[in-house]
Amino acid sequence: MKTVFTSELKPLLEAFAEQTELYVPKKSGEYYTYTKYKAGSDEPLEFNNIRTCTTVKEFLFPVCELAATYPEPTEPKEIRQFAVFGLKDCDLHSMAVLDKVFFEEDFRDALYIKRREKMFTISSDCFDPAETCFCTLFGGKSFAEKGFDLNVSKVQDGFIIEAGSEKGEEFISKNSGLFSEVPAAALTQRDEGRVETEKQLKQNNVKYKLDADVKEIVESSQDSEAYDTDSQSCVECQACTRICPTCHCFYLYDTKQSDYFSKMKMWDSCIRCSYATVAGGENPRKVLGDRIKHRFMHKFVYFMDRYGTNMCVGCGRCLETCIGGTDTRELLKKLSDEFKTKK
Amino acid sequence: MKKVLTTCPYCGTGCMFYLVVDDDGTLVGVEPSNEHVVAKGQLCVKGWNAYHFVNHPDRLTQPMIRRNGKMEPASWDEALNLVVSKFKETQAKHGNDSVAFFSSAKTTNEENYLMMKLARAVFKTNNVDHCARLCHSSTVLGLAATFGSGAMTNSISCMEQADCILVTGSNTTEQHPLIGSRIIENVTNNGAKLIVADNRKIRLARLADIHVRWKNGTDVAFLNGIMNVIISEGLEDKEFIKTRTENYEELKKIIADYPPERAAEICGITPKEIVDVARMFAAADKAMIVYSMGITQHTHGVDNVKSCANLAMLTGNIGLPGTGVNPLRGQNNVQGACDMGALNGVFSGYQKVVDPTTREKFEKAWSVENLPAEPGLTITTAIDAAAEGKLKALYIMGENPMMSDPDQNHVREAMEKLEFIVVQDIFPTPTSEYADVILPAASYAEKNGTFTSTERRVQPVRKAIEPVGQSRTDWEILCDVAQRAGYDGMKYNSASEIMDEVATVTPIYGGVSYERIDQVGLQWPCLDKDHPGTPVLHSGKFARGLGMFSPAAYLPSKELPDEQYPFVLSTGRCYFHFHTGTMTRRSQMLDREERFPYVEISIEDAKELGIYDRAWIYVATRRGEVKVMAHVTDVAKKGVLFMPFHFEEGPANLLTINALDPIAKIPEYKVCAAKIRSAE
Repeated sequence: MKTVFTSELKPLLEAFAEQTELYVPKKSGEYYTYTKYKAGSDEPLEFNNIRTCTTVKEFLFPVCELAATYPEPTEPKEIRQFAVFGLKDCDLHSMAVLDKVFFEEDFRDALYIKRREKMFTISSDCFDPAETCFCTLFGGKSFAEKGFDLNVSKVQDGFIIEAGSEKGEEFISKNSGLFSEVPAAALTQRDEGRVETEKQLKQNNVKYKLDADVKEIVESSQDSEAYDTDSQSCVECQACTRICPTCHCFYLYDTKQSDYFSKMKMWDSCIRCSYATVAGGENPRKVLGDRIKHRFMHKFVYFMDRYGTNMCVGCGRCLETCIGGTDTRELLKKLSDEFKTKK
Repeated sequence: MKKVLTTCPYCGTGCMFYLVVDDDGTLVGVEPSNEHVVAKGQLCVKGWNAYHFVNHPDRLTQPMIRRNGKMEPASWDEALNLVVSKFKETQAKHGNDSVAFFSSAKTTNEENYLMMKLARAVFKTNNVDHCARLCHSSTVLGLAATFGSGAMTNSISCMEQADCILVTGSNTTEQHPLIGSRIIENVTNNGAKLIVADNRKIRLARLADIHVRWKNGTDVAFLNGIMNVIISEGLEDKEFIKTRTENYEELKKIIADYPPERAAEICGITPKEIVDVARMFAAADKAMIVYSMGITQHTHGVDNVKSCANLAMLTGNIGLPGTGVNPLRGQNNVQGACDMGALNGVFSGYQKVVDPTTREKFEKAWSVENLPAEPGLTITTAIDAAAEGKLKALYIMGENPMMSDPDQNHVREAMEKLEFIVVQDIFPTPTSEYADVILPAASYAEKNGTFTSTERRVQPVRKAIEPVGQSRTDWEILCDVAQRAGYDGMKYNSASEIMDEVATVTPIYGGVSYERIDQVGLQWPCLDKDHPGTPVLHSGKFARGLGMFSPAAYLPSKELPDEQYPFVLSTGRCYFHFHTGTMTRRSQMLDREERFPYVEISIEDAKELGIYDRAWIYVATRRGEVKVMAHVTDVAKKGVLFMPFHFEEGPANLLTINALDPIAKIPEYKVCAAKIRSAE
């Protein structure tokens, strides 16, 4: 695939903004959030060192959307072309997980698929990772190898742009005036940077390294008390499922409008007590600890059984938004220790 | 897609978040703010869902007028002209005080200020009040009497610094989750001591070093017992008492009547529990009291509050980070609504209406004459006056007394007797069923303004979308009413201009302006443009000079259980719903969690009576009977029932007693006698 060089990002983004909606990271406290790029604006562009605090799933699978109306069906909302800049390897992994779910035969989700097709993915390399990042525990990297249309690596004098798809190649060809050949020194610098970041990530997470396969560990944790202990500080804000880039449970409900009914599709959360409530009111997971356990089982066991991959991409967003201060890594490590003792 | 930084419309914690708006102008979600000092990138379940009700199809979108007994659509002109003419007519016939105005803790500071200005300057009555009457009026008066300022003394960040936290009458993790989580963090990470004095086994109680499950309504005896132990064991802060307080001898005299044995007997606990709490609290370097409705909503609410203040002063825990008396305010802007003078006896900044110099100042500022001098009716006494036929017309902005006030049948009688009722709200409510005019208001997402959080932090509210239908912001409606009533002094181009006026007449808000509160707000008192705000009150000196020990003797609650009504019924809120449920019950994902009115009952009582979990039962008091679902749980103590008041179809306030604290006029929502029977 084509790899080119540019000393400035702004012209590249302007080129995007001309033909499509473009979302870029904007600093928010210590972190970044997405904001719509305003073409021609003087605002300085921020190159995010780590993933944003919000997730890419919001672009593909909004919190709440109209799924259908009746008695008369309505035309679905027009979905325009859009591009997202600054996605990280963990984001791309999360998209791969969602793709498995929403592209699955017999359950193809038209709304998701439409958005996915309209999306142009621009990823970038991480540098200076956050303390909460733990992608390397789950095979993630500080840079993307696949799943992007374009990838941007920041080096000292500019940016290396790599195409990862036909769409990406096409963009580079069409805008060839913006790019030049990549200096060899820049490539070396990029590769050295990648190794350095990787090292940092591994170092940050060395104490959380698991002693066995995560599926095996979690699967054997059915009787563990760790979930109940953890639930003591949980205040059920449900941010973990909301902010998780791979959590995808949704809820369909009907609302009465003035002269029609609409069926809405809305994010759900397995941390909610009512999530597992059945008709008649019985609930197999009334205890909070059981719900936390169920979430882990889904992430690391059931999903693996069904799709051949686990659901955690190690982005660490759940650590930041948890009011109760739960650290997924710590809980997994605790389970891992228990697993080792059992063996 | 755009993101608008604003303040959460639910509890008083005051988290700021971004409202995410789609390109077509609809709200699509909420994103926490990483920059904000309280939210820190986090939100509770209500915050995450705070966008959902805004576009609900039930929104009021058009003014309505009752014609021949039926509500019919009307124009703004018709509706507002009718409001003004009816109010004027009523006043001409029955006097200025025959009308009353209910302001709202859900609306902005600017709107509360205008509501009290409308009542006082235009309609010349002090009959203006809001729902703080029902939640923290005892705090406002109790802390003003002891410290000189009726607000939370410290900041939310202080929760992380205390060595010992006494939480009493506050289910913090459910009602102020981001404050609750700070308490948990301090306890689990720093080993701070946690004392929970609450007869429900709330989440914090499960982590507490000591959990005291006293009898509802025996707070004064309990706190006096603790102080008795502290004094008799010489654990008091003698230096603080000597240099910072007065009336200590009086305290000692009254406290002497509450040795732990006697206090424990009143409270239904062991003397050891009292001694343990006293020693733990007094031993801490920085000890803090956190309380909420469990302290305030009693016929002795003011005594309860004063006793908390006494304990803090006795141990020198005032004026420093990590200490203080910290009432947690329940609504987004209940602090601000009080600050703005939407109370019967004060102008903005707690400046008393009885003081002639203050009146003169406001007369000059507002270019009016003869501002009324006598404190007016409160929410509770206004309902009583209406039921007696003395009050004739009522203007209700964003309140729902049919659901929130005690003894619903009494409120209904009052509503039926009133000759003219205006309801200004975002949704139809059981109260609006009695309205003669309904004025559709804009929601928090559709207007600019400010809310003041529980830690006295004045924060911006920003418009993210256009008002739905013909709805208008409350401040614009109020200004329009004033103008139609012939008053020229209420014309503003923006909410910011209103705040500028507030700053000129309100010393504690003297330095507040939109420019300064842009990102994280400002904590009052903020006296002038250069004042940095005040995170901790009463450092070095109390607002009233010396702290006033105000001892109280234990008085039993008005209606105690007896043979006929053997249970104590206590009411409050649950995690997923808010107040009268107008917003949360229209938020699908919140309503799903608690869909039915319910009552918490202890496992022991349920067993004895053969009631199983989720069975339908009747709860009855001397006021009426309500069908609710039984939640059999260890959260409830034997002999005590707990009912949230969110549900129209099972209104807890049909059962509560209209007994008021003699000073604060707050109703006793926390104790009345009840009985139950199966409904199946």
